[in-house]
Amino acid sequence: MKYDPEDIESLLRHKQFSELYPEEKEFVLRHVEGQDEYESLRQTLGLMHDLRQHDQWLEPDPVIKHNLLREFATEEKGGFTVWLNSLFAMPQLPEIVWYRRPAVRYAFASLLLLCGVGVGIWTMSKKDNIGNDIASTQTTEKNEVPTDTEKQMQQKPAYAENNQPGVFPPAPKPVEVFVESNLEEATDESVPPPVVEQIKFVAPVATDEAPAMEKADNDGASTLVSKDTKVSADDVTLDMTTMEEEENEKALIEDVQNKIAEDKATAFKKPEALDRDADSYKVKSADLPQNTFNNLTLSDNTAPVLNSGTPAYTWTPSTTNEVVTISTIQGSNTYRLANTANAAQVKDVLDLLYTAR
Amino acid sequence: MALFKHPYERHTDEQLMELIAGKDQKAFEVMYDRYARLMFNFFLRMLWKDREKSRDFTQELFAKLFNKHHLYDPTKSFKTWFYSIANNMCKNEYAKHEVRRTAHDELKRDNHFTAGIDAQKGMDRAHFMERLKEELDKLDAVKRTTFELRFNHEMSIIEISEAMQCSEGTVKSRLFYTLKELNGKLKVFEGV
Repeated sequence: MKYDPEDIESLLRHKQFSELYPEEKEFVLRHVEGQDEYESLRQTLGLMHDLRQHDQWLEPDPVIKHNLLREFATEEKGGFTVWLNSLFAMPQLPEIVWYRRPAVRYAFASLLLLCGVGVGIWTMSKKDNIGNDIASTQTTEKNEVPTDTEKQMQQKPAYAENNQPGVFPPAPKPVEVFVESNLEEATDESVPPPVVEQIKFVAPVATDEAPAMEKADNDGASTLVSKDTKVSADDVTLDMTTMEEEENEKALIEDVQNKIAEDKATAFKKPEALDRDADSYKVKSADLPQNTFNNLTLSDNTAPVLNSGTPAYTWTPSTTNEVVTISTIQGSNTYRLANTANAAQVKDVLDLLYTAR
Repeated sequence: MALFKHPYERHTDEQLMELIAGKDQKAFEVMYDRYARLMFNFFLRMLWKDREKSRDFTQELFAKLFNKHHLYDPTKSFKTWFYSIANNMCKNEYAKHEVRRTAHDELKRDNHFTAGIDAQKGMDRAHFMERLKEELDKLDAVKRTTFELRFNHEMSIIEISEAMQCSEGTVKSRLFYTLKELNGKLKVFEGV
């Protein structure tokens, strides 16, 4: 192995002669006479390393620094003055350029960071606003190019057939607008406009099994209740997704509105109060609470006398038992309750049954 | 607060040199504080403990720093470049004078090294150190510089070779044989 002379210094520093490996000894003995010289060199080398700690280093004279800085300033000033004098007079630059100060650098970096964050937040908020605008936009422009409405067009309900292909079906007008505008023209002042829910419920109910609504007058009441304007299930194909359901519902509503407008329907007219036959006021014993009366029997044929504002029965409290007098067309019968604890309950039932509607 | 702390102390020598080239006085001050003591004592050892001469050499060395900064190669180590300038200044000074005769005369006049060496009585460690310094001063400039840079300035073999503009093998040989020479002269102090 070829040793480097520098290694001798390393060997002298770390190993005694007896600790050397054979190959190291062989190498060392090529440069020293023997173990004695090796150990002597080792000792001297150790003292060499202690020399620095022992030696007291002197401090340079402060005048050296003063002279140097003065000379440095003179050198700097000359060049700077030559350059600036050619343009305009300015005072000498300070020791440290202001933009080199760390405080200025950190402040500038912080400012840049804040600006970047602010721009990012503004950009994100702008995107959100655009999304909201798109969601709420109800455009009827014919030049709109459908994106992936091919599928929607295929599944669109019957009402959309009139629309030109490739064009979005017209967005339904808000129900509130329809109700208010149409009703203001022809609404009877005594007749309140229908609530929105009544119209909205047309779409889900528009099936073959849907119960027919009450017919309007012969003079062409609102076709809203007419079966002709019923939207069958074939026309409406509801998607299972919520968004499509809402869109279809709105489309249906618009369709109904359009049809009504086409038929020049009159204002929605509240049907007159129907005459109720006496049977509707019959009190059936089954309606009364069980075990309430003793020996109280009401036949189904008894019908109380309708008297506006006057209940068809009288309730006469007694000290011992509650007495109920029910007036019917046959006459009045008095019944005595066996259990006064249920008197209030019975009274409530009778109120419901016998109060003129 | 660390935000307002001056950053120059954390700069490397090479970074400070770049700033000094840009006429940054504060960077120059920091560089001076780092190397002034080292170079002053280097000149003291190399110039026969002449404080006046060492002071002049130190000032001249740092003046060259901002006047000759264009001669510095940023790809190289500043420390070795700086020491090479100092070494060349010393070599030029040696060439002007008869080094060995002057060194011997200076040593005789300078009481700093006369410590009443008495080998027969057995020297203590302090006296040994003084004798060692004397012997070092008697060495020729090249050996002394090599020894000084290695043991006092704790430079590596590579750094010494760059500063002295010689090969690493040359540096190693000089160190080893300088050690042997000093060891021969200081044999009387064996066992101290």
